[in-house]
Amino acid sequence: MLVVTYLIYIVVSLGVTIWVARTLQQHGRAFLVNAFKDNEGLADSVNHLLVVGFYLINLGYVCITLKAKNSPVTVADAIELLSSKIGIILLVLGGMHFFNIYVFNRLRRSGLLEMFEPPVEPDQVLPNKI
Amino acid sequence: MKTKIINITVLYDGQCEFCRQCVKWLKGQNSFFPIKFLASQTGQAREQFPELINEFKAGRFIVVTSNREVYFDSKGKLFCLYSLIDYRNLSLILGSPKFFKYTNTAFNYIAEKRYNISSVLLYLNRIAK
Repeated sequence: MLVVTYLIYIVVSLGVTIWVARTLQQHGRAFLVNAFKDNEGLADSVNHLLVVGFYLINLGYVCITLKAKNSPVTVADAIELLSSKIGIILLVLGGMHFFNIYVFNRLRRSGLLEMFEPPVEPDQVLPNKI
Repeated sequence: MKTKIINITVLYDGQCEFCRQCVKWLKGQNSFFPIKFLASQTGQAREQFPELINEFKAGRFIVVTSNREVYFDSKGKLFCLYSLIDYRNLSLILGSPKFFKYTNTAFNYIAEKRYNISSVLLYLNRIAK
């Protein structure tokens, strides 16, 4: 029973991690292209690096939390164990996902900020030096 | 579309401790373009900006951009915030038509009280030493 639970846990965790990472990669690209002023090469590179980091942290967490304290005896025990473990993984993934969106948004904002005109008009314009 | 700003020069009152502390703080920040600081009492400031000699009064804070645009006092301080990577967002909020009058009042109040603030800063410096 324990081995089956572990296998289901790994398959579900991997599936969800891959799905979230792909969603991030596909939809985060537009943010990054905008942040890096249409430099698609750089945007793709940063996007890829962020997704690699995302995979490493999540898969690392899945591995660490694999071991169960008490092995399930009945099917109900197995479902309870799976539900709590996958629930934690989903929360971690959600947290990581929002963190990534925050990073994307920050990059985009800092890219946009550079293009803003000064907030006030000058008091005077000096003649050019000859 | 305006010409891109390459650098700015900040002209400040070198005899005011508060102004010197502000400049020290500005020097420690990351900016979008290089910022050069000149105390308005120096010969270099008078040599570089002879057109502004009449403006070099105690407590005046002047910013001159590479496009030769001049921003005085509150606008100058706001422009300095605009130059800083971490504070551009704030400068855009403080400089918006809705907020500028409050920003101007606050900056003018601080400028008026600069000698009081300077004496407190000097006292704190003395204690720290």
